[in-house]
Amino acid sequence: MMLFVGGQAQGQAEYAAAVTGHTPVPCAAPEEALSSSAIDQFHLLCRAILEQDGEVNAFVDRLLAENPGVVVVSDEIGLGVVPMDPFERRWREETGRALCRLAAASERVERVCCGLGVRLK
Amino acid sequence: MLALITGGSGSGKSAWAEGLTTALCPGEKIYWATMAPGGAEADKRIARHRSLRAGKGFSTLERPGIPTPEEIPAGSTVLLEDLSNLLANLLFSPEPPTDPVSAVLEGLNTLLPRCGHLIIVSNEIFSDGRSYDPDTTAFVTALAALNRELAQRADLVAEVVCGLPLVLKGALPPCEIPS
Repeated sequence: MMLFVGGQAQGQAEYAAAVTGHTPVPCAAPEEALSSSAIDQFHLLCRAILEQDGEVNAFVDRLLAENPGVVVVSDEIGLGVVPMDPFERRWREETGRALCRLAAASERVERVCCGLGVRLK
Repeated sequence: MLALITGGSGSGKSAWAEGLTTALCPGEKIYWATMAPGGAEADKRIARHRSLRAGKGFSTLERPGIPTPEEIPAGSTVLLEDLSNLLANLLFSPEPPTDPVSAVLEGLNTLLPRCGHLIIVSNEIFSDGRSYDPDTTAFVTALAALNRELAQRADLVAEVVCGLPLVLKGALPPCEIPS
């Protein structure tokens, strides 16, 4: 597993494609992600799961078990003021915790800023 | 050298960029100030930045948009403070360009041959998970595109955190950078 994160529009998907040879593709539903070689916009997938009353943590369990070689690309969304809205709060927190679990399982983790990667792991 | 310096609000990026500029060029240099005066907060911000750079050899060029190349003496070291303000001034002007990213890049291209060093201060505003109104979204997306484009061309890219440079590309000059 490899994980590439960064702020909005920092070029992390293009960077991940160049590093891994897999073009990240957004997944609308968890089932797509389980068979994807490279997931783009992971943070939006987490949001979609929460919007459908799903469990992000349970999804991460399945992803780790069923697709351990996947490349994951996500926006970092937790660096603003904690929002008043409970759903917005939950989305940030669960996405952040999911990314921590993916990072722990990844052999390579990079943070991309201005299109430039910094390897964290 | 073309340098891109980014960082969050209050990260110390401006002071660090001024130090870098002074290290690269101890003598006379240009501070390209993009913020148009107006309102107590802008005036206070401008006064704070003026005191930060006092005695460092900067002459101030106040231009909310792109100066003409003739305004930059050949070989000058220029500190652009800052990219997000320059973009906002163009984007939210009465007649905004159809492609503000290209407009800024083309403008900077006309100045680059005049500059011995160009140090550009930008902003990190991309990681709060918020959705904004269309105008603000256009601004955020355009600034991200400018950061990516300029980072490709830059010799040095650094994100400043708590006043400390995290080098993303290139290497810091070997001389000491004054704080």
